[in-house]
Amino acid sequence: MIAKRSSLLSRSSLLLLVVLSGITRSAAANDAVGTTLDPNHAKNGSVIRYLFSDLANNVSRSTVRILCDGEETILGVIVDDQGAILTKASELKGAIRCRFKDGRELPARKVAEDASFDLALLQVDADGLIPIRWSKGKDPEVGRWSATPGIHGAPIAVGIISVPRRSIPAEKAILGVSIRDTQLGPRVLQVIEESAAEKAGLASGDRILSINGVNILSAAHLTEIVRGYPPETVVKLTYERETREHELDVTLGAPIPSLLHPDSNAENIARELSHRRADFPAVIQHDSVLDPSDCGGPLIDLKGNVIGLNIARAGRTGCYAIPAGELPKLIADLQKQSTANISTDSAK
Amino acid sequence: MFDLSKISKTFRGPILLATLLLIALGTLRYFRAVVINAAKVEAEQELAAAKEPIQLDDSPSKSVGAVPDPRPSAPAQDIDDEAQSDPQSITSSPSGDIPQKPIDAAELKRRLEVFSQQVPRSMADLQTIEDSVVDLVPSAIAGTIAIRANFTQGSGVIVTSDGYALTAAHVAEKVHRSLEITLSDGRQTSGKTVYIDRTHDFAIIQFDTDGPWPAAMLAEDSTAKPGDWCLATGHPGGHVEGRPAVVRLGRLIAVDDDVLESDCPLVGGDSGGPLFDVHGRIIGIHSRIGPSVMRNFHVPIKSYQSRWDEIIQLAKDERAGDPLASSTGVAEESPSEKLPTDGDSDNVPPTPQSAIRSDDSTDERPSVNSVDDPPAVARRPGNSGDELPPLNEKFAENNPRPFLGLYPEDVLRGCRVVEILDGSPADKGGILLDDILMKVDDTLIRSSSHLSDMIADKSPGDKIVLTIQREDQFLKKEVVLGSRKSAP
Repeated sequence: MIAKRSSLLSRSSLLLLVVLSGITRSAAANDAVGTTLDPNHAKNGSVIRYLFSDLANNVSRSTVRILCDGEETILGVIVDDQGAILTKASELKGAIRCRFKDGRELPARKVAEDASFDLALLQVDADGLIPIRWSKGKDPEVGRWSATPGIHGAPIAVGIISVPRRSIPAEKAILGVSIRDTQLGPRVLQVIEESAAEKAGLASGDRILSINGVNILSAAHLTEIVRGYPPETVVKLTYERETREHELDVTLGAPIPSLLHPDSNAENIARELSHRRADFPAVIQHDSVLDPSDCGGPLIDLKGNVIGLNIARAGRTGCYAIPAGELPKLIADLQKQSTANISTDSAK
Repeated sequence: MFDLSKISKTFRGPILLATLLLIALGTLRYFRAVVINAAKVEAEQELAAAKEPIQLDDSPSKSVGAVPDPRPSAPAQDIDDEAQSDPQSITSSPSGDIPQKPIDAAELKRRLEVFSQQVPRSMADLQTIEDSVVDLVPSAIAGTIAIRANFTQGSGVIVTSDGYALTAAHVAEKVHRSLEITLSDGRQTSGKTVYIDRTHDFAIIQFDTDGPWPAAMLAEDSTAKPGDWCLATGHPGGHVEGRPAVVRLGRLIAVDDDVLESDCPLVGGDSGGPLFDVHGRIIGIHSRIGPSVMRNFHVPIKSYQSRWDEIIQLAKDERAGDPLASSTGVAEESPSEKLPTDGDSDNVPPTPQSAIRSDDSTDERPSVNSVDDPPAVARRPGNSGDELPPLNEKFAENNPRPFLGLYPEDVLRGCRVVEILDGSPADKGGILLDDILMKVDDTLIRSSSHLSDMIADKSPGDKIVLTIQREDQFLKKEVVLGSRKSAP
């Protein structure tokens, strides 16, 4: 009892002290609070990116900006001196042109594709191209700087390696509804905002009948069927609303990481990400914040070594890059495929 | 934050009587606590007097007497001290587990310089940052955990080897909530929430098994300021099989009492994970994100620290099924209202255990102080004088205090000797100027105040082994501690 008192005593005298010193502190703290970090001095600020300029410029000679139907869509990498360019396949559409560091802008066509890594090989008719030199070293350690050069000047973004090499499993599609099993079959209880289901026009009370011709028996069955597809798959969904049967094309969605901030909106975050951002045999992850259109190009380290090819902005917190060690073989395979395609074409 | 009712309660009892009875009670623990506290206070007072002369006077022997630690009342990091005093925990803690590359003094100096610059100026500076970060990564990852509660997934960080971890309130959900915990090495265990403060969005959880677990260090003082480099770890999007904690680098954008803002990009699932400084110490816990990727918010570690000791005691009491503690339970929501076990226990007949427990809190007082006091204030002699009842000081006068006799300064991997008193135990033991002190016996030295704490815990005549780095060599030096009174 007494001991308790005594500890209280000393503690409270401390508390008094703290209260007093708190005043001093907040006065001092005000100075500190007034000064926030100059955004140019942030990790990805202009000052640090500028330090990478020389290294980035070397690699920019082997980097191209790819335009699809006139829009800057993705980056690419020159992989030989015959006009072969490697890029991310799934972003390509329409008429493809490549813009080079020297200002040339040339039409390109897709000659080969690798679905497993989401890579495409383009061909342009140009000479004097400088192919990239992939690092032959080991994968970079977690914590090492990484930079993403564009075709000019300072890199687009800098960051560090966040996660060592691993494979990324395929994402499973989601519909975006909560379902209750009823005697008549599974019924939509709630439609999640901005989900595939909402965009397709499903509503609470709808009874799900089938997906791509498969009769849906229960909530669990629905989940199983939907998860059997990758995101972005378009499926035919039939449902019953007010005793009438309807059919819809639904583009299934991808799971979006839950959000910390109530103001951030799932769709905005999704828009910042690459469409294909999962199902890769091997990637390293870094914490650079890239626009999806800035993927497809090289990733360099602090020595200027090309340590990978950015293949996806995977989340708010980072990007995936295919490790440099994987690329020579993938490129060789794509070139073989392209030769085969060309000879098939000419045989026709 | 601070409960005024506590203060008024304090003065209920007659101070003199209480203190005399305390002395009479004289449990060993209490005895130690008083000695330690008193030693600290005196050291501070002398420091206040000695500081100027030491800085101005070239001859150390003249520069006032023994100052075991030039810094103010050591922030007694009881959390980590517990971990460190357990030999097992040392081997299991990341700092003990992971062999650290020797860093020569020049490199050390360079790192400190680079991190104190407003902005890196060269590729060489970036290289220095990179080397430091790569060194920090293994222990940062080892201490970071993934947490799954009923409705949420998040992250957390282990802070004691016996299994206490910090997280965000919105991850821990509520007190007593059962949690599934996954370490970065894939180990799985379970735990529960023992404390929640929703106002500040922080929570403390306790593992169901004792470990030892790889614990990360807490930053002992709140000197975080805009521009400081920092490392964030966590599990963005929730735990992913085969993916260790994800590491991100950034800088503090803004700092105030209740929040740190950084450009380390976070997302759902990171909540509750740690933000480390460049020394590998936890400075914040991930809490929220803003609309831009540049804006990420962390709860400053001092929000936890000021309550830590009390909370842990509550949790331990509860686990032991102590009726005294369970009457107050483990606190939820508003610490200032629920935490005063003291008030409640006033109504409960004291037991011998409760006396010891309160001694513990006496022991822990300096940490409360150090957290909320900026160093500049704590150094003021006036404050240190207020800190302890004069009677304790008097009591200490009759008890010699352990004495090492050097003046350390914090560096990345321990502390550097900047002054040695002639003829002092350190001098006799062969410690030289500019040596980097790395360990006392088997415990890594985290800061000069930590060193001072460890010394204060010893007795005059005790032999300690100091592990030091001298240029690029590691050496062990035996030092027999002197007593304060026998100091030159």
